[in-house]
Amino acid sequence: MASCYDIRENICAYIDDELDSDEKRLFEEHIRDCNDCRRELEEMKRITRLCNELPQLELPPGFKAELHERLLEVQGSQDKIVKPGRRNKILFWSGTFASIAAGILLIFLTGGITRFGLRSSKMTAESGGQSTNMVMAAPTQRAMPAAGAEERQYEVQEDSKAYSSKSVASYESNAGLAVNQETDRSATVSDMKAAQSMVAGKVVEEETAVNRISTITILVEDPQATVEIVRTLAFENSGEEAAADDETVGTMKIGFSDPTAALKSMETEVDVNDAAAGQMKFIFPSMNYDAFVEAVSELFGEANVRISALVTEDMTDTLNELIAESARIDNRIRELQKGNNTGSSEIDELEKEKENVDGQIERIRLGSDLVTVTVNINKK
Amino acid sequence: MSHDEKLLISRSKAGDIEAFEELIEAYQKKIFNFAYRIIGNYDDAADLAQEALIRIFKSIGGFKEQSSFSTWIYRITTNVCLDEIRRRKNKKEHSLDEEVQVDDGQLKRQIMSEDPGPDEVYEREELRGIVKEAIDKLPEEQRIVITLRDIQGLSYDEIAEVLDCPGGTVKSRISRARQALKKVLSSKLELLNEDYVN
Repeated sequence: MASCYDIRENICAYIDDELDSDEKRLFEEHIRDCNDCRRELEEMKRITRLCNELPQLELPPGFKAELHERLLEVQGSQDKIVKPGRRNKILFWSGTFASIAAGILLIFLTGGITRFGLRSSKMTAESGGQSTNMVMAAPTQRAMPAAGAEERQYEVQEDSKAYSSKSVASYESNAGLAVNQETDRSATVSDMKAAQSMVAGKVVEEETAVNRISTITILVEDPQATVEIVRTLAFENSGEEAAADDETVGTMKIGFSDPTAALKSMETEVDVNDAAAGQMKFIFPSMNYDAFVEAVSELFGEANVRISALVTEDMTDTLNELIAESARIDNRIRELQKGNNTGSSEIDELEKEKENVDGQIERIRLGSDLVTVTVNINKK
Repeated sequence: MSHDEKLLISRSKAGDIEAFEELIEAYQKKIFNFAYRIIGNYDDAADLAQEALIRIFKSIGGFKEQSSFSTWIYRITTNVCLDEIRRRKNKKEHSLDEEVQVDDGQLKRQIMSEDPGPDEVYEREELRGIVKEAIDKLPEEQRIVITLRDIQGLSYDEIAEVLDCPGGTVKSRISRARQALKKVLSSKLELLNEDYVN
């Protein structure tokens, strides 16, 4: 026969009809013979009934109308949010436009060429593929830390009369400049070299690049459920989620002390699954980072939130080197083209290399205005 | 999950507000009542229910349709309520010493008197008031299981899914919660006429 202790443990489950048939049979047998347990059962039934009988309240007046208004607001703001991956691409392209424009403008400024024709009209940027005749006049402008991607604008002059009517920008891919010069190639190569080194010198002088990364660790009872909450907080503070393994953001190797070491030391128990499920990465405009940190601390309590120092590394030298490297590759390509080696595999390889270098340049530039935050959600 | 519900969910995921409102039609009263039992105050419950529904709308894109929609929304609502409770505790910890020393009952009365909502109308009956007060005094983890079980009628398995904890934990929490309620209520109920109870 089951002990009274076991029976008491099962009283609620019995009332709630949550015992399996064997447990139920044992329970009923015991209750039949044990007055104390029977009395306890009756009392518990009464308590349960009292709870069950609490009335359901009607929704407050105007509840649905208010909700409707708020849903419209959310819908409005969500329409403005560009999906993370897409935004990165737009930013990437914007940045590419800007750097190409920098090159073009500086070439004008060096005075070697007054008309510099870039032919081809295909624009394959995801951001639009609108029309072709575009000249950008934003030589050193970089992505501004605006709250929303839609606010990021570059001075784009369509059909600009200020420049040659032949000025047609070509963005075949993110390989950077794809130049087909209409003028005598040999005459322009040296100018091109000068322009490129000018770009390197000029841009680095004016541009300082930093990369900012932060790690936030939150301890909660229910990591899985917290994911949504953190996401909401991030969205509310203009953060955009990147895939935790997104390689286009925040993956640059910088002097960042091993975050997992700090993490392990504060945990009594590391649940591998929870840790994996609870890692997210967000990108915030620099100006919104503090607000997000504050919101997280307030919500979960400072005791449950560990925030790494905002690690900032000066990337100016790296940027400088990369820009110079990009120019070197470009010149080499041109030399090869000049030697009528068009289509050689070396050119292909160089172009790939340049694409890679230009990609890194863009990422560093983006990193200056953005903070990449890795959020770890761990079980208490 | 019914076919209609699936359809409404997929339309809601696409940002269709009308579909979302239809989808939550059957749930919003439950959400409001749940919030009311957890937070104990009519106006705050209305705010929290709104907050929960907005959060549900915002995150419905991430809802995996192999799990139950109702447990998913209870999970979000539970989290919204817990956030609020934590926020309050946090505030309390950061406020002045004398305020911290105020006991729960006194604090509650202050909040109630500042904010006399229509909840008083509903809780006028003495017995119900006593039960409500007893539930309010439970630790939040117990208050949540009791509310999910006795007021919302979820099974132990469903509660386990909402709270993402083992079924055994649900069983023991409900047991502890009812024991605690019994302790508080039995002394008070003795003072009341048994007929009144029934």
